[in-house]
Amino acid sequence: MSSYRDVRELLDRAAEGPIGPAPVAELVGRGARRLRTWQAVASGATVAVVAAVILVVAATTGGAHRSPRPTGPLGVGVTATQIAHGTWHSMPAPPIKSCGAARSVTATGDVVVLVETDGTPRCPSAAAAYNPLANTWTKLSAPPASLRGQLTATQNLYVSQRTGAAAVLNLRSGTWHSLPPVPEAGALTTVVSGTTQAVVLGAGPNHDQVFAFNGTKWIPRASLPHPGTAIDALAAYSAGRTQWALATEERTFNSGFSSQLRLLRLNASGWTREPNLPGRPAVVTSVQPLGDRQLVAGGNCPPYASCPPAGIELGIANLRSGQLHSIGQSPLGFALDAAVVAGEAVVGLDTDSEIGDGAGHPAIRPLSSSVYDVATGRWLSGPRDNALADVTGTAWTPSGLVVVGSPRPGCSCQIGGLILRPAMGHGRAPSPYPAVSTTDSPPNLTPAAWPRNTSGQTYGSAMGITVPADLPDLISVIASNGRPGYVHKAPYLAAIESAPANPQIAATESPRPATLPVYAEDGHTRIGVFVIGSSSK
Amino acid sequence: MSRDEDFAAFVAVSWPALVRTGRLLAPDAASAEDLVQSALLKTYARWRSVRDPGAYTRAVLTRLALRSGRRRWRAEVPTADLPEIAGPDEAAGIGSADEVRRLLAQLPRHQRAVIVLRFYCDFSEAEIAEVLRCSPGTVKSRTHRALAALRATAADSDLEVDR
Repeated sequence: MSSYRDVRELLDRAAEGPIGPAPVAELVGRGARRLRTWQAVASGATVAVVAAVILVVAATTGGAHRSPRPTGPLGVGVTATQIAHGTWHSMPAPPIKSCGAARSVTATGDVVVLVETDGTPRCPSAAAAYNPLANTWTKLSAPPASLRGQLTATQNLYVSQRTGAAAVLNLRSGTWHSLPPVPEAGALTTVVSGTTQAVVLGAGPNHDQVFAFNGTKWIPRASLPHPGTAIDALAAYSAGRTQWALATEERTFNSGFSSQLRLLRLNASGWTREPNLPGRPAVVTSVQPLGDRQLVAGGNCPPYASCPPAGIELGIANLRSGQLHSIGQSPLGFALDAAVVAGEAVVGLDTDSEIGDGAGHPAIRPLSSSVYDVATGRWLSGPRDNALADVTGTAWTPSGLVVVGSPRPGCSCQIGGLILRPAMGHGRAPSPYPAVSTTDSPPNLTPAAWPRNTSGQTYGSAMGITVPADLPDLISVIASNGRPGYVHKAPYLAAIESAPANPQIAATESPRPATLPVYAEDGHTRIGVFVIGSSSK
Repeated sequence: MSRDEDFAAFVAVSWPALVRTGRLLAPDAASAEDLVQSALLKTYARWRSVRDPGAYTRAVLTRLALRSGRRRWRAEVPTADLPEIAGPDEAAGIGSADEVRRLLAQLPRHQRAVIVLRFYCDFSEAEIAEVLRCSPGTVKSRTHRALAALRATAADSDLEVDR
């Protein structure tokens, strides 16, 4: 039996172990490089200079691969310039608090936040949903246990843990249901397929097993192929009936490690290996839809390797052509907290504490944002705010970019949120893409100022509108075929706010997404469909 | 001496102690070294304005450890179980450090941070409150709860915590 006389002795014992040599030269070199980068940005260097610095840093760190800059229509047509000139607005205080980790996911138009308990009765697990249109929070029923795991949602919120435990929250009825445990633990990611079926990927000791929930039990699906021992990192992307997986395979050599991103595609015969996605990031952590491409986030250090710390790296992938275009890291911070696709831009968010107060104490640095303009390939400086010291979740909504986080690090038992509303009146940057009419909206758009079509219907973007009554008759969207168009207001709101017919069925059988017809500006020429509730995280 | 020379000397001297502190805060040894390197890079950036680099680095290290579990990116690969917890070591005298780490790992992150700063880094309650941006009363209550939890868990594990 071990015996410890006081806590100090106990801590001394816990801290024991061999310690390698200090990487002095490496730290000095990296610190100097980062400081130069930071000073260049902070001193007001032009965006062109910043872009050049990024390219130099990327080239010197091995990011030599270059693929053509992606082009094409994106998002709902809000430009990076409009986002960069936007302003942060406070959200109402959430009805829950959190001393543990908080995670959020977008579902049925709401931003659902799930917080973990910190182990004390003062801060139990809790859930709440934020409606960006109404600018209101709704407290949801508390999870049945301390859940921590991957979130994915359409009209249900699935939580799957690496232990294999899983639960589902019916967002309409607010009821939780425990699901049977996934047969193999260790799943790396969870997605909802095109039919709103929850699928966990990367389970098992080699992280290559796939299971789908059929409403009753988990059904094994085709395993992920990999030539090495195991899969290190995984992100999945579901576009309609096509499912992709981006896998970082374990490749260890005597001289170190070498990670490479592999593209896998699901077809009738199972997963097929597509050509590699050379470039950075090589170790994937998430993938988000970005128009007809995908934003890939990650790094270059496999989970098992003890790499020097590095910030999140971003790339834009075209899964069909197998190209990965690295856009590096935001020039404004050493490490991004989050990156989210917003309109025609990628918004990087960073909170950190390296500023200090000059007295030896780290000070809270304002929430910084940097905006990558996909159209021009440039990073722009975005707005800042002091309200959040940490970012736990983001969502691009019709009201703007919702950011959920903690107001203060450390002892804070609160969560808070901000909305970045784009400057809709700001001039649109020159773009080679087909213009989406909503991006040319006049400043301070009011319902009376909406443009009208030949039938007298108002049309425009829902961006920045917080009251449903202020929405135009035709709301701009991008149809599933990539064409910009409009959906009628009434079915759009009904699709978001509709109630389920049977909560029990909805909780276990995964309700179908709502499909709305998309019309041209005249309001009656049908050009495609817009699906609500089919995206996956 | 230049900034680089001063900083290099500081790293060479402080590295072992910082890594040990990191082990108490991070889930595993590799993460501990990552956190220490991240903290040192931030210290480098503020080198000229930081009066006590050791205290500053420990404060940043603590904050990074607290935030590491909250970052959205890490949520993509969550760990429901604590991966740093090794299985019981039957070899006498070898499993002790693991046992203690297991005890610490069962504490909520904030309580763990308070314990490490108070009893390992010898920070005062006021200094801890400054680092964690909370009141000294909150520090006291968290310390009390953490010690109680340690005692309770230690009793279950045949360990003894007298203080």
